[in-house]
Amino acid sequence: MSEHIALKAIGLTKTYGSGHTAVKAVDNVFLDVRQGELALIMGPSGSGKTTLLSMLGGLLRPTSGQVFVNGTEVTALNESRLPDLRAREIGFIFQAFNLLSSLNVNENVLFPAGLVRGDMRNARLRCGLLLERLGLGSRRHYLPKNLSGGEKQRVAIARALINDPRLVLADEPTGNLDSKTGHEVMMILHDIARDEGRTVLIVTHDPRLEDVADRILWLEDGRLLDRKEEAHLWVTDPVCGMKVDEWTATYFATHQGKRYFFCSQRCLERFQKDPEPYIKKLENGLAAPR
Amino acid sequence: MIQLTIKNLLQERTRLAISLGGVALALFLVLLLEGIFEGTSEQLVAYPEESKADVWVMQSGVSNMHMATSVLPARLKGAIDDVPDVESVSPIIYANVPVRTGAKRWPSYVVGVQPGSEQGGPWDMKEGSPGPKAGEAVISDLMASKSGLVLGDELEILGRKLRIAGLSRGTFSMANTITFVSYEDMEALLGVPGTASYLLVKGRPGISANVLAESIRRSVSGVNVMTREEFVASDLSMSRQMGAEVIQVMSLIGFVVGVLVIGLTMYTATVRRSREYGIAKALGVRDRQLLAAVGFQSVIVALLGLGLAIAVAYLFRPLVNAFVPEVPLVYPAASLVKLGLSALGIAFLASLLPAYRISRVEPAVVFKE
Repeated sequence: MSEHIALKAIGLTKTYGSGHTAVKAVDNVFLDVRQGELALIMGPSGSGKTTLLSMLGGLLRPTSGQVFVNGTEVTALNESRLPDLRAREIGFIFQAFNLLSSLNVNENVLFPAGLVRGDMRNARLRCGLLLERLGLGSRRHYLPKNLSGGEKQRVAIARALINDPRLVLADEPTGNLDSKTGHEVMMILHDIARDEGRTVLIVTHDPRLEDVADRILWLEDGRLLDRKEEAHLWVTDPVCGMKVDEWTATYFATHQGKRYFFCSQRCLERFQKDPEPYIKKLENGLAAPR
Repeated sequence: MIQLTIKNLLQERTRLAISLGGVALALFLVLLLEGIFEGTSEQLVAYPEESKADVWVMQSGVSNMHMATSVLPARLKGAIDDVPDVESVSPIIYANVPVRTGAKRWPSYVVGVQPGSEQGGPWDMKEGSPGPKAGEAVISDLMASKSGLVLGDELEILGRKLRIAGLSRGTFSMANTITFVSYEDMEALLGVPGTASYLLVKGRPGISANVLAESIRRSVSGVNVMTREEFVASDLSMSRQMGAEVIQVMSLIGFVVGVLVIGLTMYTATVRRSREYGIAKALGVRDRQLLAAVGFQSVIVALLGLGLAIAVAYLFRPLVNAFVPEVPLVYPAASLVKLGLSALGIAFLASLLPAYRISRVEPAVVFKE
């Protein structure tokens, strides 16, 4: 890992609304991420992770503070220069994959290459190599609708890398994937940082990604905090009985002064419809809510 | 971006087909109406066009046949006969009056021609004699068939019954029909003995119409002298002027329909794809590239719609000729150029709303599920 700072945030703040209704989604965040580092931003739902990532990627203007990507102050660039920086310097990976539905795999991957000056012949060669490396050589002419979730995410990764950016920003890259494909994607991101020296910053709820991270940042109420000593605080979903990390759980509800955590929206809705049987189930010794 | 634009269009084939169909229909209707109008206008000048006269002489201040009346003394024929380079002079008496066939009345140019006249008579006979004698008429073959009349049957002009002696082609349109009677009958019907409406002059071989007209102007005063070309152009201009407002209104309606069809389909497509536009922005596409893409999409749809409209219009023409021959269809080049410019205007206006929508899409939308 290099000592070069690839991504830097100074006093980054984003406030929505004004006066009494003002809400600070991100509050005075200072952050340095080194070249080749794989860093995670974790934290509970609504803690401001995605807002922070949007500002770091030049997709959202902060209320105050500065962002530097490889020495360039993103926050000082005007709207006409930001798109070029995004195309050239940053690779984006999204939870929902965000492939362009009318373009096939090849065309999706090459799309950002057409936005920067450069030799398209080289870009095509690079596209071929990336797709082979990611196991998509036989899927080049497939439309996104004909790909599995894991394949879509690998196409998105190839697209993020086509312009050879030094910084990759990923938002819940394993969020829509099953365990096996999630692990595959996790290892690809790991290789991108380790083998290619790219900086990878991931916003995630997925504790599996901690295994490959160099650093874990904890965001709560818009502020970066020290990570709690315990890695996780496991509780049981009263509906399905699955283990859920209380700190990062997205779905929770309060009933008679107690908080319950759920693995999914589906379990939360079932609980809210009729909580008593599930609470009794917990009281019968399956697990106790905190 | 162009690749994405084209692929987006092709991906939504039903939407594209609806959009193309709507635009093509709007433009086709405009073109059809203009074609009918132009064809009818040209049909209105068929008589002077086919008159075989090099020069037309008429009352001073008159420069038309359509919607005009000209009265000249018949003796003027002798004066013009004496003009050098004049080979023959044929007077005609003309009035725009209804011809009654049974219960039906046909608006008609009724032209009185002298027997053996070289100019001004029917130019394409289907049946019978081209030179009507006293008590006879030569009528359009289409009018005869529509009225169930044959040679020898009677019709009525200004209260007088005349026998059908000939059927002519090319003398019928939606606007009027041309009926030929004898000169003496026309004098009597109108009560204007010793007069002519127009004098149709034929020059000697090799003499140009302009030179002949100038010679007549120098020799005869108090009349208006026009070459056939000038006279036809003047009549055509008059008939076009009469329907211009209707055509303008219909063109405007077609234009608005085109804008609405493309605009709405583009707008709904833009709304549906706003997330993809957000993705494109996040990946580094500039606003102006997206706006150009929307404009390009509209231009493609408008031009394809235009092509389809023109193709349908030309395919439609033989059908009209076959089944409704009294509706002449002519598509002048100027109308096609105007339609092309309209299509581009439609594309531009139809892009405005989607462009506004795209300019408001935030790239941060990519993080929403």
